[in-house]
Amino acid sequence: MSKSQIVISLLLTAHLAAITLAAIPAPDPAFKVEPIQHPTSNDIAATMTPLVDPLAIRIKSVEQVLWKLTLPIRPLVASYTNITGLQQYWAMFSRPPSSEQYFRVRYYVASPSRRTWTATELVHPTHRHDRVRLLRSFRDSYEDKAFDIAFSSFVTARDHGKPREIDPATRPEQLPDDLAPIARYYGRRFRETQLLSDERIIRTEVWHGTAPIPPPGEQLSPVALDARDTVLQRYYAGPIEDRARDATKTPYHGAVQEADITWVLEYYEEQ
Amino acid sequence: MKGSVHQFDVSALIERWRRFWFEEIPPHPFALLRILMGTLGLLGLLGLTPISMFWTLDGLTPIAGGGLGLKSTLIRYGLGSLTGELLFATLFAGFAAMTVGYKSGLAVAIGFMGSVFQIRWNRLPLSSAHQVLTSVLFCLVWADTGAVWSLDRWLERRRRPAAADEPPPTQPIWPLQMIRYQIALIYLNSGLWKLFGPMWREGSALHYALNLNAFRRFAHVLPPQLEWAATLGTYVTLFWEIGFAFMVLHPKTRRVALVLGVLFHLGLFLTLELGPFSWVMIASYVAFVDPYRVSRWFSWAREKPIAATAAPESV
Repeated sequence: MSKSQIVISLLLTAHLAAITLAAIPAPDPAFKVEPIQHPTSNDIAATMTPLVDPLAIRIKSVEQVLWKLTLPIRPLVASYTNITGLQQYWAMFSRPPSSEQYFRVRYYVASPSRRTWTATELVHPTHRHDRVRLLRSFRDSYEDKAFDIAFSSFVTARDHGKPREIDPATRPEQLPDDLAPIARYYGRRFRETQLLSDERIIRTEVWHGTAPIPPPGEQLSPVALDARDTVLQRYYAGPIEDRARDATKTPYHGAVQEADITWVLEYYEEQ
Repeated sequence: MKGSVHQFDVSALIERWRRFWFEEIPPHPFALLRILMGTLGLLGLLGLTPISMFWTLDGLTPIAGGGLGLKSTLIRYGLGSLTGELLFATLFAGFAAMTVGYKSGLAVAIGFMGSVFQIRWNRLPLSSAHQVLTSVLFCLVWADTGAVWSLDRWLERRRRPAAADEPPPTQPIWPLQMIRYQIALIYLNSGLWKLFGPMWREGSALHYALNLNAFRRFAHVLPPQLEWAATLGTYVTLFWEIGFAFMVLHPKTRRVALVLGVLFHLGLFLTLELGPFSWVMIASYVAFVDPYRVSRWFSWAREKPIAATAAPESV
């Protein structure tokens, strides 16, 4: 081998070792692998689950050993993959949510001459649930991804990987700012398109909504489906304004129900 | 005697290593990957419009921290939104140049560096498709991607008519091997993540994935009568992803892995809206095709195919 081939070989070996090590995830108690309830309602699952369960537990233990053994060189690997943008996190759909996901933004609008009113708009998913996703939904997928990443970063930063008691009196400055881009971007858009010159937004809230996906083999009742559909159709018609009564504020992390959609106030800002 | 056998083994090993990484191959796979990744890069940029939504500071972009990084510095000097717009324009120019093969080496480098900076600038709308694209571009940076099927080559012929009769120069295979390794690692890692997820082990993952309102392409969900297909699909996906890295080692199983891969990604495209992910993955499969076979594709492009001396048998 020539000198240049020897140098390239060394660099290649280092590169491949680095990306391989980067692909081994840090042990995370939230992602513990434990034997699961073996399903009996489905023949394929009933046969396969007992086979893959022990396999997963065994491979996970090997992975943890590899992680511990390579701990000393981890900082070097992390620096390399960060600089080159070659992070090896490929957990796509490894734990798909078992509920439908929504986001809505609520604006509190004040003006010198009128009482404070609210408007609420559904901002995620970008596409309507009752239409086929065609060309436009390609662009929408990027907007939807922004919600996904912003929300998971927000929850990680707020809860540090553990579910915890959340204080209803939590102030905005005590919250991570990962959902701030959503509050501000849609707030700005709403202000520019919907408000009069003397009106201003004094509070913006970001609500996360979930609705159940029935387990395999089951279906939602037509009544439940209709009720959810009615709620969503109201949002699709545009921001839902409430000018009739004084705007009451929900305590932080408070929940409200609309049909089978549970909305939780996750983030707010006051201006 | 013992010593000479030992020496023979080492030199044979070195020779195998040399052939594995440094065998000369036609430049066509690199050119095709450049064109495909450039096109998909452009498509991704179109998805990231309007510019005011994902590139300027008042869009859906993370709030910049106070750190000492480049982004913070640019923002401190009031150049935040301008930088976002310039990044978009630079990436657009880079991917367009990659697609047509103009200043190919520079274009691929711009595409790669721009994609890395894009992750730092605004990671919010970026999916795994962007990560795969960046990883493939990193490997292509080290190859001469403009030797064929490029504006560079066409301009060279115009400048030097004799170049038309010369076969395109061969290149060492190692950047292609890097792509193969990277793609195999993606599937193995993704498969293991799935194996550790309870829904994949109990066979319900595809059921939930296909029902997710943020992704599903059609309004109607899978009827309960077809649940068995979702369960079967869950296990096939799981084992195919874990097995991909091993299946591509042998030409026969490699074909099965790639055909299953194309079917899997087309299935994803038809049922879920995942942006350009399916297309980026299918495009990356070019790296697994015999380079001599790729050199015979698109013969209308007037490039002389290179006669195979010894097509690589294994990855």
